Amino acid sequence: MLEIKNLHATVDGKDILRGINLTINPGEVHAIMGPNGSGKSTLSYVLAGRDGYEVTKGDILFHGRSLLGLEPEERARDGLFLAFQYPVEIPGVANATFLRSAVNAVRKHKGLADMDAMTFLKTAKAKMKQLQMDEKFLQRAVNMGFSGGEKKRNEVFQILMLEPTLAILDETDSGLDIDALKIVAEGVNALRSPERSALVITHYQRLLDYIVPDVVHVLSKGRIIKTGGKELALELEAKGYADVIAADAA
Amino acid sequence: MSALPFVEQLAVAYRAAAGGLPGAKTPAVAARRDAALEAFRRLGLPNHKLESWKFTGLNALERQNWSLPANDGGVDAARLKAAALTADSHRLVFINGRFDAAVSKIGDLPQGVMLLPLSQAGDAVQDALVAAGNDRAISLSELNAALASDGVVLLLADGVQLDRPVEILNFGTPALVNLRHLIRLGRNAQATVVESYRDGGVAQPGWSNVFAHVAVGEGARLTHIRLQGENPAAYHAALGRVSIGAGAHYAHVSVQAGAALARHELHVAFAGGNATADIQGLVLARGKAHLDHTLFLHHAVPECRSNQLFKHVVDDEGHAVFQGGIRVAPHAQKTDAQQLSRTLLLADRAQIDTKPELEILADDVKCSHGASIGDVDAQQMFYMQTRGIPAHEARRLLLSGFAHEVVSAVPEGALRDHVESFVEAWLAEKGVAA
Amino acid sequence: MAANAQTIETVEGLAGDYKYGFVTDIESELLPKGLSEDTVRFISAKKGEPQWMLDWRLRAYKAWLRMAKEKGEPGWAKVSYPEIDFQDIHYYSAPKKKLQSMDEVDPELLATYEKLGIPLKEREILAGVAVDAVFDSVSVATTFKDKLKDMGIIFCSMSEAVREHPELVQKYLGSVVPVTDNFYATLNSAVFSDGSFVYVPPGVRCPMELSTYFRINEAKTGQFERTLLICDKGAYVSYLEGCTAPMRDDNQLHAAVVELVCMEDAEIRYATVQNWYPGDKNGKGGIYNFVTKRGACRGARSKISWTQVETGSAITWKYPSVILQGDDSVGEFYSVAVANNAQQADTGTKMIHMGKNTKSTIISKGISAGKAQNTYRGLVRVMPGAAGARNYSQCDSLLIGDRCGGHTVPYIEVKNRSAKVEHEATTSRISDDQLFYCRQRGLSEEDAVSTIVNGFCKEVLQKLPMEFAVEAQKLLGVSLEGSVG
Repeated sequence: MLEIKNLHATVDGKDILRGINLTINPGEVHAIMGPNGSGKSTLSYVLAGRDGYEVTKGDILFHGRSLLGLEPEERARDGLFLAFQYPVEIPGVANATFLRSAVNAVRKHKGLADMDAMTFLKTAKAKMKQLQMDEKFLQRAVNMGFSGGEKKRNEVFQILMLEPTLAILDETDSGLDIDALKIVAEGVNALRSPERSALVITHYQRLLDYIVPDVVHVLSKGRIIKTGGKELALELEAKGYADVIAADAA
Repeated sequence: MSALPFVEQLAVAYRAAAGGLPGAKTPAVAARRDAALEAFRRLGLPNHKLESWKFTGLNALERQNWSLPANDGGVDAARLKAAALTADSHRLVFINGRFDAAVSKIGDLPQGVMLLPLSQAGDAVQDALVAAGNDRAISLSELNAALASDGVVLLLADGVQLDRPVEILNFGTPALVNLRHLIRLGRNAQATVVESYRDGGVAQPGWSNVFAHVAVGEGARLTHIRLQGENPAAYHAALGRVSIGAGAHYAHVSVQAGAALARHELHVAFAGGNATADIQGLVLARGKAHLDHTLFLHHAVPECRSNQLFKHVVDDEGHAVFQGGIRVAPHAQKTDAQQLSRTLLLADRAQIDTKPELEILADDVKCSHGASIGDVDAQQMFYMQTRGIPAHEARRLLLSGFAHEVVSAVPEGALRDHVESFVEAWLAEKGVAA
Repeated sequence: MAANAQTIETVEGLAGDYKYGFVTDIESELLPKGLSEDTVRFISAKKGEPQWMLDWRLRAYKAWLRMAKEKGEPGWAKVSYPEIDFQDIHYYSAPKKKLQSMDEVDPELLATYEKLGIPLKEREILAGVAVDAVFDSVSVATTFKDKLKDMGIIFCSMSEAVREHPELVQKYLGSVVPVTDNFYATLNSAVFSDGSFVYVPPGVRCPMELSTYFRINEAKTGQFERTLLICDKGAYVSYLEGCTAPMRDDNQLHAAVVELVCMEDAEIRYATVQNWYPGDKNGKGGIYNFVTKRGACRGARSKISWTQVETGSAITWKYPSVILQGDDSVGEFYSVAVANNAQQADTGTKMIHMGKNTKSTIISKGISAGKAQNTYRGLVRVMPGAAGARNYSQCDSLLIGDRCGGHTVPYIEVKNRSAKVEHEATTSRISDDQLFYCRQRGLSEEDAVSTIVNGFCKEVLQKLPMEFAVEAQKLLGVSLEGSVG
C-alpha cells in the first residue's frame, strides 16, 4: 500500500525528515508518535504533496507508484486522505457543495458517473448520523465557525464520504473531549477493512485505545527510532519519550 | 477687505519679515524660503477640486486680512498652568509664533540630545527648512517653509533615551503663525513628544499653520501626542510627515477639540520592514467647529503593521471629516493595515464626512477598514437611566467611555491623566446635547 | 508561494477563452464614422422620432460639446486609457432588414442569439422569460409582448416607446439621469440608438422575468442604449440584462444609460450579467463600458435592488445608484466584479438617503487577478431630512497574484444624527492553506479556485434569479479559470 524509502525532506531549506523507512500493508493501521518538532506533521504534508515541502532524497510508493511529482489532487484521487491537524476554513462554500465536488472528482478519476444530488444527500446524512453530527453542518460553510471538535468530526465525515484507501490522521485527537474522541474513532474503525489502511499521527496514546494500531513507530528528529506493537504506545505513555530517545542516542 | 489679493498680502508680509526669520543669513535657507513663497503663490490655497480637500474648504481664510504676529504680550499664568503638563517635562512655549524663554524650561539633557527652538538652532535650521519636507506640491507646507518663525528641533543620537517628555506649547494669537518642527530619532532612540495648541484667550481669529517633519530611526520608539483645542474662531492647519525605520514604533494620538476649522494632515511612510504605526484620533466638535483628520499611510515595504482608530463626537453644528488612505505598494507583502472610524452624531445639524480608502497592490496582506456612524446607543442610555442615572449624566458617561479607547492609547501615568483631563474638560464644558 | 506562481500561470494560460467572441456576418446599415449635429438628426430621423425627441437630443448634444470643451472626459475613476476619438466611432448600425414579426428575424441573427444561449423564438421559450434583444444599435426582437400587453405591461424597444407611448417617455426620460448628468450620459442622451422600455401599471406583478440581451457586433461601433423602466404604484418587476461582444483588436465604446422609476409600494429588481469582450490578456481590444445607471425610489415603501455580475469589458466605469426619496424606501446593491489580465474596473454605487427611515444595503465583492486593477467606489449620503436612515455596506476584495490591485474608496456623508451607517471592508487572497485543503480532497487547482471564489461571492450570487445564478457562477469560473493563488 504505502512504502516510504529513505525519505529526506526539507522545509524552507531546513532538514526535517532525515531518512524515514516505513511500509504499511493493506489493512494495517500504523501509529506514529513522537515529541513536538519530531517531524510528524511534516511527514503528513510530504505524503499529501504540499508545496514547500521538498523531498531531497528517497521515494514514496503508493499502490506501487511513486508519489513524487504528483499534484496533491492526484494523490487524493488515488485514495490518499489527510485529515488536517488544523482544518481550513473556506467562507461561503457550503460543506455539501465542497464535499460533493470532492466526491465527484474522486469518482470521475475512478471512471464512475457523478453522484447525483439525492444520493449524495442520502449518503451524507447517513454518515453524519453515524458521527452524531447535526445535518445543519451540510449547509454551513466549510469549517467556518466550527469548534475545534466539530472541525475534527467534519474531517472524519469526509473520510467516510471519500472512502480513501489510506487515511492519514494528523493529531485528529487534539481538541476532542473523550465522547467526541470515541465517536471519531468509531467512524475511522468503521472503515477498517483488509483493503484500507490508516496512519495515525498522535502525540498521546489515548486515541490508540480506540483506534488500535497494528504497528507503532516513534519519530524523533526526522527518523523512526523505534518500532513495535501497540504495547509500545503504552510504554511511551508510561515513561515518556525521553527514555526511548536516550536509548537511541546511546 | 484689502485691495491686495489674499496670496499677495502674504507675499508682502513675507518680504517685510524675511530678514528677521530664522536662518535668514544662510543663503541656502533664504533661497529655500523665496522658492517656497513662489510655490505658494503659484498654488494658492487648496480647494475642493483637490480630492484630498473634498470635504474641507479654506475659503474663509481668504476673507480675512492676515498679518504676521507682532511681538508683544504674553500668556497669563493661569492659562499656562492649565495647559501645561503637571509632570516634569522639557517645555518649549511659543507665543506670537516665537519661543518665549521666560516661561519655557528645557531641563538637563542626556548626551546625544539636541533640543532647541528653531530660532536658536543654528545649522539645524537648514536641516529643518531645506533638507526636511520639500513639498513643492502642497501649498500650506510651502507657505510654512517661507514664513516659519520658530518651532522645535529635537535630535536624538543613536541609542539615546529621553525620559522626560518634550512639551511644545503654543498659544493662539490673532495673526498667522507658522511653526515648523524637526524631530529626528537615531537608531534605537526613544522619546515622547507632546504638541499642544491652545486658546491664547483672544477672540479674534488666528491661523496656525504647522509643519512637522518626523523621522523615527531603525528600532527607535516615538510617542507623539497632539492636543489641539483653540479658540472657536481659530484656524489650524497642520501637516506632518513621518518616516518610520525598520523595526521602529511610532505611536500617535491626536485630539482635536476646538477651532473654527482645524485640519491635521498626516503622511506616514514605512522605510524599513517590521515597523509599527499606531495612530489614534479623537475629535470633539461643537459649535460650528469643522475638524478634519486626513491620513495617508504608505506601506512601501513588506512586513509592517499599521493600526488606525479614529473616534468622533460631533455636537451642535459641528462637522467632522475623516479621510484615511492606506496604500500598500507592490511587493509590500505581509502588510497588516487596519483602520476603524467611529462617529457619534449628537445633534440634528451635526455632520460627518468620512472616506476610508484602501489602495492595495500586494496580495499577501491583511487590510481592512470599518466605519460606523450613529447616535449614542439608546439601549445603553435606557439601561443607565433605569439604574437611576439622569439622562445627561448617562450621556456624558457614555461619551467618556467612547473617548476612553483613544485616551487609553496614551502611556499610563501623568501623560494619560493630562490627556484625559483635556478630554473630560471638553465633555464637561457645556452639558452635551441630550 | 510556489502554488501561487503556478496557479497564476494556469489562469493566464486560460485567459482569452472568451466564448462569445464570434463575429456575426449580417448585412447591416452603418452610419459613417463621426459625430455632429447631423449624426444626431440622422439617428432621430432613422427612428421616425417626433420633434420633441429630436429637440431633446440636440439639447444634449450641445451640452456635451460644452462639456467636451470645458472638462473633457471625467478623470476621477481609477482607470487609464488613451483619449477616445469621438469622431472615429460609428454611432449607428442596424441589421438591414426591417422586422415585422419574429418569423422575419434573419436566421443568422437567431443563430447568433442561440450561440449566446438566448432563447428568442417564442416557441422555444419555456422558462417564462420575456426577451428584448438589442443587436448593435437597434432592438431586433421582443418576445412575449402580447401576453404582457394583456396585463397592461409595456415591454418594447425604446424606439417603439418613443413612437407609441410618448406621454410616458416624455414624462420620465431624463427624470432620473438628467441630460447633463455626466459626460457619457450626456453623449448617450444625444445619440442613443435603442434600448428597452418597460412600464408596469399600478398593482401589477409582472409574472415573468423581463430580459434584454445586448450585443455589439459591428466593428468600431459605439453602443449607446437607453433603458427606461417605470414601476407604478404597488407594481413589481424583475429585469435582467446580459451583454456580450465579439473579439476585436480595437476598443469599442459602450455608454449606456439606465433609468428606473419606482413609485409607492413598488419594487424593481434589476440584475446585470455583464460579459462584454474584455480584450486579450495583454490588454489589446475590449469594450470601454462607461455606464450610468440610477434608480429613483419616488414613493413611500418603494424598493430598488441592483444586482450585478461584472466579468467583461476592458474598462468598466459604472455606479448603479438609488435615490431614496420616499419614506421607508429601500435601496440595495449587490455586486461581483471580476478583473483579470489587463482589465480595469471602477464600480460601486451611490445611495442617497432623502426620505425618512430609508434603508440601504451594499455588498460588493471585487476580485482581481493578473495585472488587473479593481476599485470599489461608493457613496452613502444621508441628507438632513433622512431621519432614521440606515445603511450597511460591506466591500471585500480578493486578490489573486501579486501584480494586481484591489482598491476601496467609500465616501460616507452623514448629516442626520438619527442615521446609522456601518461600513466594513476587507482585503484578502486565496490562501495556500485553502487551496491545498481543496486539492487534498481531490479538487483540481482550477476547481478549487472556482469553488473558493464562488464562496467569496455567495451573498451576491444568491440575489440573482435562479437561472442566471448558474450562468453567473460558470462565468466566474471562466473569467478566472485557475487564476487564484
